[in-house]
Amino acid sequence: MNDTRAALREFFDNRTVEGLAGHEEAAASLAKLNLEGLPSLRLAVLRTVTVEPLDAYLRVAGYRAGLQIELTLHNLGEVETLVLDRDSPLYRENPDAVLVLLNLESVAPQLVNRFTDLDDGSLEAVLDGLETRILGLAKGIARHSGALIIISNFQLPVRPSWGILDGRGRPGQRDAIAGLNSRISQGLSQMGNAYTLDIERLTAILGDRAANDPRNWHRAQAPWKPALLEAIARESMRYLRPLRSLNKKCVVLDCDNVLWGGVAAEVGFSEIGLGPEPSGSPFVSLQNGLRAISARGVVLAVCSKNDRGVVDEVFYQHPNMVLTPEDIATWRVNWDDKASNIVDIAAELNIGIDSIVFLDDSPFECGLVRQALPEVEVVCLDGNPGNFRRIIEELDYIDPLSLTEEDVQRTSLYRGESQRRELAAQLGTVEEYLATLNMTVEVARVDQSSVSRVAQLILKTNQFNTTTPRYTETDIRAMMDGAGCIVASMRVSDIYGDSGLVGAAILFFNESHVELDAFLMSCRVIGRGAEDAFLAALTQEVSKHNIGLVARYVPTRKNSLVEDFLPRCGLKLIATDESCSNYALGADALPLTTPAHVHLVNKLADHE
Amino acid sequence: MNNHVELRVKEMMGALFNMSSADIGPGTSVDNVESWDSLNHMKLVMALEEAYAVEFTELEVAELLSLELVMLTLLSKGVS
Repeated sequence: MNDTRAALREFFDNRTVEGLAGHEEAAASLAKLNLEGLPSLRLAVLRTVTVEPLDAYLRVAGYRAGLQIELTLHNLGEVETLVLDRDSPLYRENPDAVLVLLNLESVAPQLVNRFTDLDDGSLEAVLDGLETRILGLAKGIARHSGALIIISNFQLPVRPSWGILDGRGRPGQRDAIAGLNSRISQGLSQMGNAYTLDIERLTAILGDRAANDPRNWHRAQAPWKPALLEAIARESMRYLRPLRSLNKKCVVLDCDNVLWGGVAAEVGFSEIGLGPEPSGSPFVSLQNGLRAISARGVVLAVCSKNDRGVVDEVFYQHPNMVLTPEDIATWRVNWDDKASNIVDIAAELNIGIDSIVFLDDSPFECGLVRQALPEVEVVCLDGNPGNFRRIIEELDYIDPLSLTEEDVQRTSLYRGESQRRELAAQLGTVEEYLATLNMTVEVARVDQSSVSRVAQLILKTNQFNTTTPRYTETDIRAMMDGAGCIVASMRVSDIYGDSGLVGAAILFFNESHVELDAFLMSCRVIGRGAEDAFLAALTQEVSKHNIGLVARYVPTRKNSLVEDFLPRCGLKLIATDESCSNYALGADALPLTTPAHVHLVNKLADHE
Repeated sequence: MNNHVELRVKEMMGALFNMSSADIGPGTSVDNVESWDSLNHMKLVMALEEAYAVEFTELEVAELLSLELVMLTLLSKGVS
């Protein structure tokens, strides 16, 4: 099954499927793939319009949703006859779902073409008759089959017959049809397993000219353009996914630059983008969108590389936060890789990894999760934040078919479960992923071109920072020029691009030892082995002098992330008190090894 | 005639008529392709109009009956 998922993902990642011909081609290629284990679903389509191209669109949309659609397109115009006869071909196929596509020109031409001839009484009679007829279809299907029933509603006229007088002094055409749609939709909702396919809304998204082709209606009874047929196919999957439990159950959220603008640990609580100002408004809007998703019974979880205190401060104290701590079912605020955290979240919530949607702004994190967990739906929010709300509103794989009281309470139910499940399998894939990155770490002495950036990094970096010294640019320039001292910088690049100058360190050379006075790195590159490579490069320089290395960890409110770094690299704890832990490593243990996946370019020896 | 358009039209016809685009040539027409029925003809017209943002007249729709005619009609609409 995982092979099948991977094959489908590869298929859709590697091409854009566009247009009617593109969908026909894709449907043919997909039919040739070995998609063992893909759940299948029998779909019957009844229709009053020619929709033959829908075949390819439904198949492709099905594969996208992880479904093999077995489609029966019943004869044009045969709707009532098939529905009312219990021995009809409709029921012989034993469909899992029945989609009924109706157009107003076929079922009530007078509403479209002769609206100005209708007086109030006859209009009401036409609307009543249509409501009865369409709800009768649904009841007829329900009588002979347990299939899910999906019935389309009607497009609103964009050019009503009465023109700008529509609805003035007498019932308007738009109001009449909108009212009919609403009556049908309410009637269907009372039936339990019957739903409206909202063609009124799909047409509004596309616009009349992109959705409809009057020439083709007259020519072939095919009023809907390929774009609307594609939208109908995709919309149908929102109803079909839950039948095979393919709807997503949980959205895992990054924090910095997703829930608010900026990196809270760097810019500070009061400076993050979250509020009515242009830099904050998109994030408030996104949070409102997430709240709406949560109301549908989809669980929200937080997964952020951060100190918990930084995230908590925003969640508990920021006046413009829309999401509250109570909206979050579970938290993974740590420095572990996000794929492991997601596996952990799925285990705790007792849902499949394939039920998870992951939102992050970092192409690195998104790439890692995509590679390690191909069954997770990854949404990379790396564009303009003003579009984020729309992006999450367009996620069409998260709808449940119904909402129980338990669904509404789900977040609090999960939150109560503090017990975390043991993971059956550990991920071996993070190392594999890192190996694919072609990472280069370049370490060099600070020079005129880099001194400003290094000074800025030293002042700004709070989290991955062993001693948090606050040297100014003047201090750094003095050290650069002085003897017995190395100010080093690190640049990191990989297949995703150049992260630039992201690390700095200061070494003081004494008679007996070398002191690592400062060691810091931007959190943007954490968890990739760059810090290990950086320290290894420094020890290569130290080992030339055949003396040992000493280093300190000075705890602050924000740097707990780096607490384990020095011992993890093999340095031995010598002394510790509240303000500081001292570490050392003898000359014989130097230099440290460089992680195998990193290509280290050590330029520390290149100077004057 | 632009080779690229012709290649794409052959691919589209191949997908719609369920045949290999390599088997589609100048002589391909409604007379020698069994699957070129009225429904597939409608799909071809929809696909061409969509792909090249053109509208065919009723007369053109009735006459788009071979690869050659399709290419000539597209050319007359400035698709090349």
